[in-house]
This record gives sequence, structure tokens and C-alpha cells, in this order.
Amino acid sequence: MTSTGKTVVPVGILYSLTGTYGTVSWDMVNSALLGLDECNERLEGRVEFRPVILDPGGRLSAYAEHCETLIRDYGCRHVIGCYTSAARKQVLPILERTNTLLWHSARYEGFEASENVIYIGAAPNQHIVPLARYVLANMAPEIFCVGSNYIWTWETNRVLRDLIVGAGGRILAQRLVPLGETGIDHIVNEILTRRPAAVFNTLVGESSYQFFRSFWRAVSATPDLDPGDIPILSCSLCEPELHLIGEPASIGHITSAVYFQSLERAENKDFLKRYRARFGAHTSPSVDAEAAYICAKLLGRAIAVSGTDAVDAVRTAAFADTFEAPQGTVRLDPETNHSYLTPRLAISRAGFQFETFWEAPKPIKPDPYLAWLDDDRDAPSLIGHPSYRSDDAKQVQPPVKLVT
Amino acid sequence: MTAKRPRLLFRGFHALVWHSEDPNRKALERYLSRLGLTFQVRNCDEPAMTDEGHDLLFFDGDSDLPLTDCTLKVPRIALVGSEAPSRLEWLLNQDPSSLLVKPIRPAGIYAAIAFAFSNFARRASLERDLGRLEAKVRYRRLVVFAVLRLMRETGCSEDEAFAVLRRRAMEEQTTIEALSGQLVARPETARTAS
Repeated sequence: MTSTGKTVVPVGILYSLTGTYGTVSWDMVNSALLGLDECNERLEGRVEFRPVILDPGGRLSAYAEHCETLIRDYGCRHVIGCYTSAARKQVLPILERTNTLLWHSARYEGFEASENVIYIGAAPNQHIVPLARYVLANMAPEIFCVGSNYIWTWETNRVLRDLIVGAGGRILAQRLVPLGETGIDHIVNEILTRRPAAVFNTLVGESSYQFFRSFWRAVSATPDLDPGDIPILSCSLCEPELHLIGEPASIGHITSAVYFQSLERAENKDFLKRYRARFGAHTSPSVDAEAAYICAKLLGRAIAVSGTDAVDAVRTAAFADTFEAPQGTVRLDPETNHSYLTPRLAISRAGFQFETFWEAPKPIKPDPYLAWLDDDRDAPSLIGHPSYRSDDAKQVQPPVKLVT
Repeated sequence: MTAKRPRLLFRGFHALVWHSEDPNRKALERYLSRLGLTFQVRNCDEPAMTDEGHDLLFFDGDSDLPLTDCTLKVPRIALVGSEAPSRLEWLLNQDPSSLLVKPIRPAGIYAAIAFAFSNFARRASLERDLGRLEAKVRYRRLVVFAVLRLMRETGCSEDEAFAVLRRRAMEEQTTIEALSGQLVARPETARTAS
């Protein structure tokens, strides 16, 4: 409390703004700041959320150090941050020891449920499972997996394999490359030789962009293949990355996510307007940015209701909240500390945007341990194929033909 | 779609938690629900369970539970507080399939369950193999006698005698050891064996 009676609440923001994940992290930090500012405006000076931004620079050991600093030196009881699972695992013991709450924005591979984390990013049943079900309902289930060699790929490929092979399909191959590797033409050649129904891509960063471009070139040079004959499926491809890949290679790929910029929702249009008014008309907030925004909003609303930043009271208030987020109605699941989110499948179009062609009928309960993996009540059924439109790109004439 | 049940999916399993109420038990109960397991709790001062219907047992490693009275033939997971040698001796005697260290927190429970089922299944399979091998060893003398008798009575070689035994065991759908026992007990059958 200050002398004016205003309560100041320090909120830690812990993303690597420099280093390997630097580019993607700015969006999340920006969104968290936007969300906290909106909470400040709403509370009209009674409470002031003061962001404390520390940058671990992509070094794992720095996450623990910076988290300690946020708690000890800045008095933060709440931290928004951590993009990778490795980073989150670094701070977990500190959070549990000090009873600090981490508001975690990134989608991840699941199999964790700490009492000191609020998981706002998608659980595996909210991204990889709908994608796998879509493949089973709409394609010949013969999949070629390509990915960066780390936990996200291992686990999402395991889930995909369980579902595809369990239903009688096949994983033709799984090719993994070291993080950051860009020499992947040999994998592109192998894909063109083996002709899978689709490629499942868990490459990250420059490896992924290079792969999309190389794949486009190779398909264009192959007379009996049309663009889109072998679609690339991802769980992480987002709008800013479409820019980084560049057109036309970025067009016609399928992504599973709980948020796309193109969603026709008043809350989303408002969010984009405010975001761009503050950070620039050229900005492109992704699913991660939207999640960081939800983190800040849910945190701010819970503190406003409970009148304190004490962790137990905030958690209780947050569990009772329902928030109309840009993606849809979001609420927390007290059983798992994860969130009810709305899975969607979309195809990338010209103009660096996605067009949604399937969405879950309602927000889906998180299942971080995939205990209900064999239950497909909310699965995508035969939903028809998204196809290219002729004006998508001049270079791309034939429509996407997904194999049935 | 009829997917095969994934190996590390424990939904629908029924656990018994033999541990008095405290934050450890609470944390465990909360977590089991997340994994889709159902459970029954039993305080430490209650007697052992003998009925069936459980797939997994969690027990307090810090209480002197009468585990020898517990007839549940299921994987056992110890909740370990004290690591004093006297407690560890006791724990080792209970032969747990895996363990969880108190204070119980979410991390580690899923892994402990996975290891418990795997260790228990492996142990059961090893015990079956051991039983079969022990029986073989017990019958070794009889097999030697049967081979010698066949060699003496039909004038064949060791290899031929053993081949005869193996063929007849197969025809009669019994083991070489059991057949050897019959031959030695009723010598007149040996001659007709070839």
C-alpha cells in the first residue's frame, strides 16, 4: 500500500526477449502488458499492476535466477511467462517452495499439473488430438513426421502415432533434426519419394521456415505433384511465422490452434485494434500472444475480485471467473489448473492469415494427461476439405486436393 | 474409431490408498482423479484389505501397516517419509513396486504409477519363468535316467534317445520332463517308445 491508499501489485514477466526465442517472445510480453494496462484502467487507480520484466536471454539457468529475483527483490507473487517446457521445469521448484503462481501462456505437451501454475496454453487434447482425428476422418492415414529433436516433437509424435496406428494407419517415417538445423533438403527429397498423404511438422524456428520454402520449391519442380497434394500439418504454425516463411510457400498448410487472428469475434477485433494501436499497425499477435493476454486479464480480474494478491485467494477467484477472450469463452478447470479452450483447425491463405474450417462446438475441458484419449466425442468428423481459392496466389493455380 | 488402449493410460483403474488423512493423502487423491483413477481410502488404524477389485495399492511407509495381512495381488507404491535405516528395512521387506517421497506433490506420481505397473508385470513374468525352470531342474535326474534306459534297451545314441523323448512328448502334448517321469516309473513303456 502506498500513502495514497493505492495497492501496488508487482507482476513478474519472464520471457526471453533475446536469444533463440527472442522474436516470438516480444508478442507475449506486449500482450501481457496490454492486459495489465487494461486491468489498471478498469480499477481506476485503486490497484496498480506494475510489470517487472526480466529477460533470461534463452539461457535455462537464468530462468531460475530471474524467477528468484522477481520473488525476493521485487515481491512478485505472480509471474507471467516461460515459453518452453525446459524453462518451466527450471522455475517449478522455486514456485512451489515460495508458493508463487506462474501464469503459463504457451501450449505444451502436457503430463504436468503443478498447483503453482495456471496453464492457459492448450493442453495436448486441445491441439494435437483434434489434428490427428481430422487426419483419420479425412485422409489416407499415411503420415510422414518431421520435427526438431526435443520433447515437444517426441511427445506430439507419440500421441499422433498412438491415434493413427491405433486406427490402422501408418507413420511412414519420423525424421528428426537438431534444433536450429536448416539443412533439410534431404528430408524434402525423401517425402517426395515416399508420397505420404500428409506431413506432420514439429520443426521450430528457422528449421521450420526453411523446410516450408524448400518443400514448396521441390513440389513446384515435380511435374506430377500439385501444391497441396501433400499438405503440411502443424500444431505451432502461427501468423507471424507465415511472414517469416514468405509467400507462396506459406500458403495452403493446416494448423491446429485455439486462436487465429482471423476469428470473427467482437472481442478479437477489439483486442487486435488495441494491440495494433499500441504496438504498431504492422504487428501480428499470435496464439501465444493471445494466451499471454488472457493470463494478464485473468490475473487482474482475480485480484480485483479478491482484493489481494495472496496466491490462494487469487486462485480461488480465478477458478470462479469466466472470461470472454478473443478466442472465445475461457475459464479454468480447478481439477487440473488448465483451461477450457476452443480447438480449431485452419488453413493458411494468402495475406499471411489463416481461415478456420473446423472448430469445436464448445470450449473443451483440458486433459493434460490424455486420460480420455480414447474418447472422441468432440472429434472433427468428415468435415470436407479446405481448398485453395484461385486468387490466393497467382503462382498457385490448382486447388488443394486432400486425399480421401 | 477403435483405438488400442495406450499403454500408459490408467483411467478407470481402482486404487486403494492406505494412509491416514493428511496433506499427502489429499495431494495424492486430487492427482489420481486427474488421471481418471477411482480410489478408496483406508486410514492406517484400519485393518488390511482382503477383498478384490483393486488394481493398485498406495501405502504409508511411515506406519507399521500389517501389509502381510493384505492379500491384494497388485502393484504397491510406498509413500516414503522417513529414510531411517529401520524404516527402509521394513519397506524393503514389503517389496514395493515403486515409491513416492513425501511431501507428495504432483510431479512424480504419474511416473511412480507407470513404474509400479511395469515392475509388477515384469516381476510376475520372472516368477512364472522361475517356477518353470525350477520344475525343469527337479526333473533333470529323471530325464537322464530315461535317456540312459532308452539307449540301453534300443541301442540308440544319446541324440537319438533324446529325439525320441521330444517327439513323444510333443505327440502326447506333455513335457519331456513329465514323459521321462512316466518312463522311469513304468519301465515296460520304454521299449515301445521308439
